[in-house]
Amino acid sequence: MDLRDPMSPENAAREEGAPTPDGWDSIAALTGGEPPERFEELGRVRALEPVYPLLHALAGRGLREFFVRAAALEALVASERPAFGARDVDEILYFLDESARDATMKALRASGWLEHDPAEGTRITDAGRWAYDILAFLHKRIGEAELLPTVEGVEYALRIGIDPLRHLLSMRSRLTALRAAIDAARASHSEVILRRTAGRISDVMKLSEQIRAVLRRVPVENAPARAVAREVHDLLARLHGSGSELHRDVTEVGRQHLQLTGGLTNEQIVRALMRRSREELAAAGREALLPIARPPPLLTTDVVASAAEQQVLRDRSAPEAIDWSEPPEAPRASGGEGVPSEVAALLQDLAAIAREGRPVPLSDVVPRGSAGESFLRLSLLALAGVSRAGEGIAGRLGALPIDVEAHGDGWPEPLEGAPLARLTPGRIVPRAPKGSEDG
Amino acid sequence: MDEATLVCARLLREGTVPRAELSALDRPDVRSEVERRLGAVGLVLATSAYSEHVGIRHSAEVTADGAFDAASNLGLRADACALLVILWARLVLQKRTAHTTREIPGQAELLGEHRTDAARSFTPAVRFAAIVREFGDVLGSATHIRSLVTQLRKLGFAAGRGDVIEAGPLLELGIDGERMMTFIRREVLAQLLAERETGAAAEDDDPGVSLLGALDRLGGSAAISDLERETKEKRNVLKRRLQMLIDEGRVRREGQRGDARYVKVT
Repeated sequence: MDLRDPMSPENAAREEGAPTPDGWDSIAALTGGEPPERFEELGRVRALEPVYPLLHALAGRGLREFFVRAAALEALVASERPAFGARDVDEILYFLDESARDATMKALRASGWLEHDPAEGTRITDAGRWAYDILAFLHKRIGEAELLPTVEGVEYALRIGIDPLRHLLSMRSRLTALRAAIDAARASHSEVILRRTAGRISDVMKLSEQIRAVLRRVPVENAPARAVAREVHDLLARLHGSGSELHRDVTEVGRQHLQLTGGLTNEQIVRALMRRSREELAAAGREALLPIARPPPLLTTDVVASAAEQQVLRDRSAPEAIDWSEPPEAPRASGGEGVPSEVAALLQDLAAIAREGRPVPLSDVVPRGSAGESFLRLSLLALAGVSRAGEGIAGRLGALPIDVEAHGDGWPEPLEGAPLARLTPGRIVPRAPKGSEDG
Repeated sequence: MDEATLVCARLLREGTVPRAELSALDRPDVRSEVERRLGAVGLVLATSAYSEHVGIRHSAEVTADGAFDAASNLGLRADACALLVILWARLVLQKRTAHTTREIPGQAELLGEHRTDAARSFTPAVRFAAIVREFGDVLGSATHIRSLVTQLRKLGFAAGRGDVIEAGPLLELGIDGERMMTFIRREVLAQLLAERETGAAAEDDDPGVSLLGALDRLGGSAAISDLERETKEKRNVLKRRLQMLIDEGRVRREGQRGDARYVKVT
């Protein structure tokens, strides 16, 4: 793309008679004094500087100039002539009077849309053709959320070897917006909105294969673009899901309406009304409104007096005075309260083992009293020495400096003269006091 | 106190009264007496075959006077009148259809006698959010529309609570249904015609559409000779368009030369 600067932006603006625009360096006044180069976002758009005079000249000083110049450009392109002499221009731009024709051609020439070659005459520049092609897209589809130009944009960027990141970001933005539109449509409960959004979704879904094919071609080495491509993949997958939910909602809303007599559908009626302005709808409403008689306020002295009496006599309880003093402390239960005697006995036994500092076999500690008590003791041993055990009995067991070691593969061995028939062999080993290993 | 006096008093005090509470009106003598008394002060009974309420409205002789412009008499401005049309189309039309067809949405399988009762008690509703999304451009912000709904609820044109809007008694009694129906039919027909024209224009822009339509009619797959017969187009024109459709991925070609068939890609 040849975007040689045919005229500096400042000159182009002066040509228009507009106030001189500030240049790149003056952006610092808008960024708190920071040079614009420091901001990646600003740096990325600096390459567009040569486009400015083209767009600025096309926009002109107002809508009238924009229309005239856009129409002149279209007529010149449509004429199929490679270059235009003075007579050709008169013929092509016949719809403008002479002064307007000259002014338009001068502005387009000065801003880089047209260039003059003494040998051939005036012709459209390559930069101008580029900008024209882009503008041509806006002709029909302006205002429509069409994804195809973006998909084709990625395709084209890949084909000519430029970074497709911007197009991918645009695609992601469109798909994200579509997802938000689905959520909004589902929240609207409106058949018209739901169907309209479903139409947009199906358009995108038709393109999804094409989109995926394009995304697969994004080079692996272009990490940022690949990352966005992955997000677009995810978005497409989510859109598939959201789309089916949307269709379910359309069906559900449709079920809530009857097929009206005369072949009308509720959706058709709503769409027809949506096309009308407020004034048109209001006129229809006014015409159809019948002269309803409004009931006058019915007040009698008795009624007013009764209402006043009720208001006065209404029982209004005085609010309770707020007591700002500190509340009494909540009662605390002592550690030993409510601890079963069997558990207290186990705690005492384990504390004695810890105190004596001598390992004791499990067969000496676990069996006590009945089989039930022995099972209880064994189950509580799992908490012994585990410091994260918490509060209460668990905390006290956990605080004991002992470890429980099981021997063998855990298979129980027979016991004699004990309430338990078999028990896994093992022992309870008191931990050495802190610092004793060092000493 | 006679029954006609009571009926008149209730109507004057409340504006609209459920028909079930004014059973005396079913007796011709009471009804004619009520109508006579109301008529003496420029009022007439407002009833409708589709409404379960009875109301009163000004007689034609009274409203002929310029001071009795219906909308301004109720304090309704343009946006409120526009909302009335929308609510009528969304609520009353459904109710009338249910009455006429004795069907309600989702319960077509009911037995005959139950269907009549169900249709009579059917209350169409529309969500506030739907009105905002559909007619926000016409009526203004959600806050403004909410204030309009509140106004219509106070006047008795709308009912329901919160975000669910139902028809109030006046939406049937205070609006000329025939006139409204004519307006709606005209608008829908105009829209359908406009859509047909737009569709035709789109077809002109994209000749592939007519070709795809022809393929559809031929069962989704056809030879070039079939398409020639179906579209009455010349073979070279058809081939050019088919190639465009193939390039766009809308049609694929199966087979070669004389056996080639064009298949619509779905």
